[in-house]
Amino acid sequence: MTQWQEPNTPRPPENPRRVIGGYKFKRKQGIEDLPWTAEPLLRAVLEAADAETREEGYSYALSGQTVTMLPFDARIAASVQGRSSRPYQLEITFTPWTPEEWDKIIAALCGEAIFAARFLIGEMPASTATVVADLGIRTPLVPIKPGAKGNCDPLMKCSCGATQPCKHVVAMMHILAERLEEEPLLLLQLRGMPVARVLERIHEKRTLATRGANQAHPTPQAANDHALVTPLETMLHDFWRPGRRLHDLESRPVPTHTPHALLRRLGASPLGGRFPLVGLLATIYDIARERGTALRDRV
Amino acid sequence: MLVVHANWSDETLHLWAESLSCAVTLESVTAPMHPFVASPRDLRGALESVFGSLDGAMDGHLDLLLPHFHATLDRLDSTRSSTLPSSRLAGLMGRPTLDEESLTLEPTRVATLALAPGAALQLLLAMRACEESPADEFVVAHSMHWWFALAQFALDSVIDQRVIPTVLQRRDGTFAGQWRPWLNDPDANTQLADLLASMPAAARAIDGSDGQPWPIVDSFLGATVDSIVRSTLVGENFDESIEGFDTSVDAHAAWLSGLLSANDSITVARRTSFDVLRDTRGWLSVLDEARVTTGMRLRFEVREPDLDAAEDGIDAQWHVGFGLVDPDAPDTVFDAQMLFDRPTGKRKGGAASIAGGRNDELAEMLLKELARASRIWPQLDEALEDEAPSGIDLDTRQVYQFMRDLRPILLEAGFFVEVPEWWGESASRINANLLIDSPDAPPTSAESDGNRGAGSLGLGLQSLVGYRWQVALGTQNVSIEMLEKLSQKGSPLVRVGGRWVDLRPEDIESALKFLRSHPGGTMTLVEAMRMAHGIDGPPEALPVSGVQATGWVKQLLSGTDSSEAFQMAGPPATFQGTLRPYQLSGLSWLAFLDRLGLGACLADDMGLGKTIQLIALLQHERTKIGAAKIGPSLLVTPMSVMGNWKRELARFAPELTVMIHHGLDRAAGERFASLVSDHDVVLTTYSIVVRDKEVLQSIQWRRVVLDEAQYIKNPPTKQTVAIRSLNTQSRIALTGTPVENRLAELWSILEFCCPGYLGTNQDFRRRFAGPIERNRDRKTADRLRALVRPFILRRLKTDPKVINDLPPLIESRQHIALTDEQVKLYDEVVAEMLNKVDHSDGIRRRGLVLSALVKLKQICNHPAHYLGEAIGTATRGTELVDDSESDSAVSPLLSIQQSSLTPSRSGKTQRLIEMLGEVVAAGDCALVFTQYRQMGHLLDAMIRQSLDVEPLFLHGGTSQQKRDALVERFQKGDGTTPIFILSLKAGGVGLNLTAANHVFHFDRWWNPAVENQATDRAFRIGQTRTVNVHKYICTGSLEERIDQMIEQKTELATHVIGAGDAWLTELSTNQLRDLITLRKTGLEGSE
Repeated sequence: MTQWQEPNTPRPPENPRRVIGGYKFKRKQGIEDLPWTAEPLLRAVLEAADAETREEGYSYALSGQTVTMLPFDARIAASVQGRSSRPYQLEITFTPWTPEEWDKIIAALCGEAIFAARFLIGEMPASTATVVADLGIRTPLVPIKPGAKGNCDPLMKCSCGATQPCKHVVAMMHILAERLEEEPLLLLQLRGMPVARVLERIHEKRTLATRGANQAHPTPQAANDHALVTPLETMLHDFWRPGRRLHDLESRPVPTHTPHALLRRLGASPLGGRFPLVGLLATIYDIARERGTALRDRV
Repeated sequence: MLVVHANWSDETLHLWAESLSCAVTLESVTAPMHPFVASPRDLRGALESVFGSLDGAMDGHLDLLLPHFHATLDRLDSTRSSTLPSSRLAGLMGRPTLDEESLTLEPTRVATLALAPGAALQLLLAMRACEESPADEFVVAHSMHWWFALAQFALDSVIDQRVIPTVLQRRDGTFAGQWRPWLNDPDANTQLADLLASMPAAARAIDGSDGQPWPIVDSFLGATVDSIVRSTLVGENFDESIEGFDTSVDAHAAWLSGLLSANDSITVARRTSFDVLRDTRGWLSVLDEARVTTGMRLRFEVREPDLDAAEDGIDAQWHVGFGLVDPDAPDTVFDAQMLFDRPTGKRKGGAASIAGGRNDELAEMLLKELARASRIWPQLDEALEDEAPSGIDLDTRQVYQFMRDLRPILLEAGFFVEVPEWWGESASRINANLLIDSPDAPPTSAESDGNRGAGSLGLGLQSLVGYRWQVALGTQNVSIEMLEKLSQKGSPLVRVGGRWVDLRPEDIESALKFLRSHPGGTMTLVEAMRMAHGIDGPPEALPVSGVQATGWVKQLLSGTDSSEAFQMAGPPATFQGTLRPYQLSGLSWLAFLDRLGLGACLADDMGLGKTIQLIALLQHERTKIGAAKIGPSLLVTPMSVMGNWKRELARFAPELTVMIHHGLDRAAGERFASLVSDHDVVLTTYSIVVRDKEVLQSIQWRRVVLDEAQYIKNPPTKQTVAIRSLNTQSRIALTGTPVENRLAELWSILEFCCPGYLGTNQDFRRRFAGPIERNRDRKTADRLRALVRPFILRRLKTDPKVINDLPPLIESRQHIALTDEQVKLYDEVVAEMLNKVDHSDGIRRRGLVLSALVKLKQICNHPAHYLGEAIGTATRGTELVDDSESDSAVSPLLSIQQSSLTPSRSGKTQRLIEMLGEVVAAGDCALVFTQYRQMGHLLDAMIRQSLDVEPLFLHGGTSQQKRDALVERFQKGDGTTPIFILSLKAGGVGLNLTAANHVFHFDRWWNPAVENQATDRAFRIGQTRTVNVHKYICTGSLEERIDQMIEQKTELATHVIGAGDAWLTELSTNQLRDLITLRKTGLEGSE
């Protein structure tokens, strides 16, 4: 054989190409001590893989072969650099909760303030999984049935074409595990709804429950001034008459009317210019004023 | 009669009513259903009889928490509880105040008439409007006044364009558009705080709620405002503006659809709806910026250009400077110029010494504020192109627009805007002045129609005066030529004589047009006065700034304000007493108007001596040298004060001949006419004027005087019509109520004094009462005040001109005639006693005398007091509230019989109610002393029923703790409890009640020292006002006799004082007869 080695001949190297700035698995001693949010999925993936894939995947994870890992709603898109010149494209698809399931879950999470409170600081109470399970929802909070077939959760695909889980997926799953350790609320997004939106829904629900309605306008200051209100129990001997301040109200001068004062302070519409809202409102204010004046003077 | 209440729940107004007829007859019911609530059918019937059909109203019901009271019924300790009648109903039915009652809140169901928001608002407004002419079918509960105010507040926000389109997410998660008032600006927020703080407990006591006011107010305002705006938009098909958009996918179209169409739903996907909510929240938050962001505020300062006095300034260059102020200390201004200047160390001290770092921070704030302001004032963007924006240059036209249009909006948005001090003052506008020329003395009827020599008087309102119009710019008069010159300049701001004036071109046009069409001439005084106050005046939009006059019209206009304006009258030589300086000026004013043939209303505060000012007038006109005989004056008074008039006339003007036209044997026909011609004064009552209308009309009166003129009512009654039909040369009304603030009363009284002056009642309501009462229109109120001022003289005890003339304590006696019923009872008791004492002696005789004495005093107080009619059936014969509670049997709906509460059965109670009415109307406070607890309860119920105020009552059975609470409540002086009834023994010593400036001694204690001690509750250290003491005395009765003895310090009186009633028992039968027998004065009897 000639000593020459054709420099252009592609030949798979022993080791994968090095990646600068890839995600590295931080644990050097296996996967111990992963929290409940992260451990079951990784363990299930590892159990499904053969020993060699496990080894290679683990060493890929340590050396930082994972180039990108982008979580989307119920899906992760990632790329992992192997021996080939270009990184393999991975797509991990999770089973989302249906809108009905989400409604139930959010309603249940609103029942206790602990959820909203911990979610707000980025933590996931351990009882969250139980809450979901207790509602009879078939898809658990933490996915544990990885595979390549239709009803697996998650469904794993890699452009290398090998049997799943391949070493690339195994590597990425390590990275995902440590990500879930740091950011457990990511689990919610993997079930179909971004964390911010979940918080918003919880807030909305709680507001509706405590205040009766959610509103776009701010509550006026006077409404929160509790010094204004005397408890009913102490008013039994003076139950029927209005308080003295009604007289104050009636003697306050009426401010002079400035046409469209509010409207001019408001400025452009929240609709982003699709409707000539300001002009429309001006007309509305004028005819409403006309009608109000007519009501007042009708007597 | 129904008492109508309202509550708001689930976006629905629930009207319900207590029924007086049910309330009186129903026994206690323990079921949670309100025991005396009217059926919705009856309520609907009552409301529809006044407001027409209430189509949308549905029958409903509502669960409330209402006070229930518990009373032990008998010795078996079984207690009954029942719903407490509302304060309005309790007053109507004469239920006395039972402060000691134990009350609890209990769930109570009421049957209601339920109205949707729009209909609810309209009905509330209509109910409020008809308050002045109450319906026979119903009255409104006290809490309704709060609902009226809330409804008005909602309506005002629409009229003032202070509503916002917002998004709501309801409890079920659905989204909706809503129109609602914007409440976060300071003015609205203060008014809202007033409403929340004054919300009656009854309005928020919804069972199952937390009793907080805000959720109810929030829901009411949102629902009613939305209903007005939405129904208007739907009626005008505004939803056409979103035609062509798919509201099921397009969030913004869905938002508009939720605002513009009948259906408020926002029907896009939840998530998108949430975006709309968030966007709208962000958009609306701009309105709240000034409040939410803390720190410094941008301040604009308009600087006038430096100009010579002669320049007109049309092409001048103005500068609006920027600066920052701390809203909490707006006097310190950080000028932008200074902020952007790096401190170089050259500048000395002062503001420049702010550290550089701080300056940078402030400069950044200034830029942020400028950016915020530029949303409102886009022209500011120009200034922001500068690296160090310190101000903006504007021309005269631009600065005018800035001050007129932008300033109010910038102020609202939390910015500060300083403008030159002349801006906005009416003196800077073009205006018209009415000049009236009149001679020093008015033309008299004698001059104009020849030969009615006797008492020639002015022509009054029909006198002709010369007039012309003068247009002024600011304070400077301008000619037509000058105006024409100015109009050619076409600038809204012009300098005239070195002063800037706000000169809208349209103003000049109307001024020119006006001057050309009103060259001047003559008109009647009434026309001139109305025109001068902008009423019938120039139809063009030219503000009438006032009136300048010469001669007698000048005197009329300046009234008592300027002493040189008219001649002060001296006290009449025949007057037996002293007139205080303010009384002399009152006399001069009355005499002056009288001479002009004009009517007058003397409305001095109670206690300032209206009676003697009028008596002095009667004497004054008779002291003119060579004057012919003066015809008789007719004095019309309520029955209760006739005795007083008679006495005061006799005391101060003994030379005047007084005739009393009253009683069954009063003169009629020819005899009346001939009698009248022999008298100076004829005294009669309001009811006699109606009955003897013909005979009174047959006389040509010199003058008709109405005392307590508030008696003539609006709308006119038979009485009012009869009084207005009398033939008289002049008319005077006397009243102690603040007549200027009670518009219906004002019109009625002026219609009597100056017929036609205020126009027809309908015209008056439309032009004045409506705007003033409904819209709180200050300008109209000011105009009306100016218009009536020449004819109304009202001095308060606190007026500087009066206060120095007044002693700290004024005592007066009210001599009051007995009614027929009282006379009859009195005579019976006297006869029986005299008959018996003749045949008895010793202890028995003494007992007889003492018991008769008590009876006579009770009769003088009120027949019900003597007859023991006090309380409802359950408690007849026992004290009303026994303080050892277990012994008292209290009927659940305890009340005093209606007939017992009729003040007119007793002269004293009738007078007391009249005088207390004036006290309350004037905002004063009064103590009422009586010796009898029973009478106290009667007065309590009577005052509540007749005056609709809640009196306080302190008697021997009041616990110490309760006493302290009562005193504290009264001393708070917040106007909610202006009347304090005290039993003389319990309340006569030790208390400090300086909030009162009137003290009534309703019945007499023969010991002046005891009475004075009681008076001293109010008249003591801490009292800052004059205290008026009113002692009530029944004319001709033993009260009067003993009072005279004490006054004249007779020998007998020395026995009286300090001896209680015992001395009476020692008198011989003849002495006794002399003392107690009723001396008829001809004044007795009822109206």
